Amino acid sequence: MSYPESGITFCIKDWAACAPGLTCQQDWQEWSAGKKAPSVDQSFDVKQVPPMLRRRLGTLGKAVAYTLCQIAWDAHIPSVFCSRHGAIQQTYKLLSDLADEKPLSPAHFSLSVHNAIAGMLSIARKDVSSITALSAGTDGLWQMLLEAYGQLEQPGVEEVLCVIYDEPLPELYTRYVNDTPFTHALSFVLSKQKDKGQAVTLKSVDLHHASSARDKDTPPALQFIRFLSTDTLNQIVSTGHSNQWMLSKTE
Amino acid sequence: MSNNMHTEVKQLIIDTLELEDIEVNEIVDSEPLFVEGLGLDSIDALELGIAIQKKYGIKMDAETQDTREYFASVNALVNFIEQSRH
Repeated sequence: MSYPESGITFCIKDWAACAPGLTCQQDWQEWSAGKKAPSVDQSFDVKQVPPMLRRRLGTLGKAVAYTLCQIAWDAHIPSVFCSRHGAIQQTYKLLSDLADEKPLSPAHFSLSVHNAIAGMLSIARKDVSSITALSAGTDGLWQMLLEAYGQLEQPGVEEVLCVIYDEPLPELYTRYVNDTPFTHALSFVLSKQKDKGQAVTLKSVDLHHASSARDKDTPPALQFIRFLSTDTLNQIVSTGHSNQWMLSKTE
Repeated sequence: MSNNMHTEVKQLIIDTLELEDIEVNEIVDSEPLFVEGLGLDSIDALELGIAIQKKYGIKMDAETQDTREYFASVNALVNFIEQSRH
């Protein structure tokens, strides 16, 4: 894929993020400044999702629903959903039952695909727009932005909804990967029009440049939330293994 | 005895299908469980079938027309479980 030398510029029209105890932009400003930590209470108020659908959303699905309720419940625009591990707690439960030769829960099995949360919420939102569900290792955030850019280049597409989310891994896996300290979800609307919110530029950068500013300990989605909620933080760089990317705020 | 069985089956339905906002006394013995009434769907039927298998050791055949009738209401489900256990 080729892209302009000067980078790709688009606008973050609106955003909402949530984690246990961190549910509004003010909370995230305080979290970014080190003044507030996530709580243990895992419940999110998602009354907009009808009860019969709501019961099928786990904690992660409810976190995603919560952010959509804030900014995009009635927005019928293409969306890109991205998660490194998906609903991993549910996946782990199914795999454990398989290993123990117990019957699998049909409801959980039917939702054991990567686009399950996106699909269920599209039913709840009565939205028939196109959905893309991505998983791209540690590069998820960046691949999501590139995918959204590709979709914004399609004729007739003015805005794309981006949603990125993950939950902590079951203990068995943490000796291999332990990259998600707490359940979190971030939704934002990307717009082609430069005057619709915070303009940002996405650029490929060389490895040496990127390595000095890399933060390997914080999941990219949480770094991105910090970037959005901190006025003095003007850029973030990718921590993944493939191309190196940098996102900067533009005037 | 039968009344206890009705309560037990209702509780099983609530727990198995994660009907977090519904109480035992809100489910009417004779009302349909699926589509109308409680509004359960086909995945719920499968889920409930497995829960009944686990709890009462009764295997339900998903292919037969009878299964449809066993799931018609709480009354029908209780009758089916009681008959199958003898």
